[in-house]
Amino acid sequence: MRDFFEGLEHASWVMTIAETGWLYAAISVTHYFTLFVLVGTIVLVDLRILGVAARSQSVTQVAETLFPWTWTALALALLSGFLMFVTDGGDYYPDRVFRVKMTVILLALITAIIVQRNFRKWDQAPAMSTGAKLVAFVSIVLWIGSILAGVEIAAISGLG
Amino acid sequence: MHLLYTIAQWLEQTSVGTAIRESLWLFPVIETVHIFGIILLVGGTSILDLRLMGLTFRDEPVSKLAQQFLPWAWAGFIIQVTTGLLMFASEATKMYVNLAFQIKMLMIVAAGINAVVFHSLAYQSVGKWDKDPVAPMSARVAGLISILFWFGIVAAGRWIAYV
Repeated sequence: MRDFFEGLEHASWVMTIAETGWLYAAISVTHYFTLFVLVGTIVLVDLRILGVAARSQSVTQVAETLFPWTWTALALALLSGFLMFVTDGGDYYPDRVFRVKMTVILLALITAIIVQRNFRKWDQAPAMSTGAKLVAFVSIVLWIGSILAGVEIAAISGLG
Repeated sequence: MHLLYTIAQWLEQTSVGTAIRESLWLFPVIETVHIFGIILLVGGTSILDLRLMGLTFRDEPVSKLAQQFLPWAWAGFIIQVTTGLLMFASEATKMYVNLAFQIKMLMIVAAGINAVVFHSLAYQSVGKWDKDPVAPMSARVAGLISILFWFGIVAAGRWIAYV
């Protein structure tokens, strides 16, 4: 797998990204903006489930307004992230911090899917169940962790 | 400008600046808080800007949205200044000559001036157009300038790493 990503670094379109300073920076800025929308909308829904924010609206209203933005941002974050990954895939792939980040994001996405599939059911109960609140809380912790891990890739491993 | 450089040199040598620079965890943790602060600050101001431009929440009074979201934006702003200063202290002389950082600071000042001008002129008469789906031209322009500057500030912030 590592050899595959190592080889991909030499594909001409990958080299164009890697060697064009402004292009790489523009992709990084795109990744940055999409993560605000992705994490911002998810955390807002989580905070609503926890009863902390947007209490004048129902969980269903908040989630239905924000989730389309969440999934759009996720698609763009994955695409821009992939484009940065391939410029240095041979180093990213085995990197410990990068693997922690990917694992945390995978777990965070599982909690997001649990919320997406259950928020209407949760909202019908007179009060949010402890289980729902636990999922929301874990989701917030995981998204904070994913950003911290992303920042640590540069600090600990010196990649990016 | 020489005075600013002297201040930057001093900041970098303080124990706080040194500790942040030398730790593998302090800078990333502060940066993560800074990122969540952006969501509060730019999320809050953008909702109001989009309403002023008549693009979203057209059935909500402008003053109601301002009351709802500006406290969040101010909380975000305080987080940003605090975490931003801490990160700056750890690499002040490097930032002093970083073009993206300089542009970011200028845009923050410009966004601040835009907000002050908006609040002291167009917003004074908000009672007359509070419920209009489309605000007067001066308010629409202020909203557009604000959102452009804040998005520019975020982009310039990320760009600091690439100059």
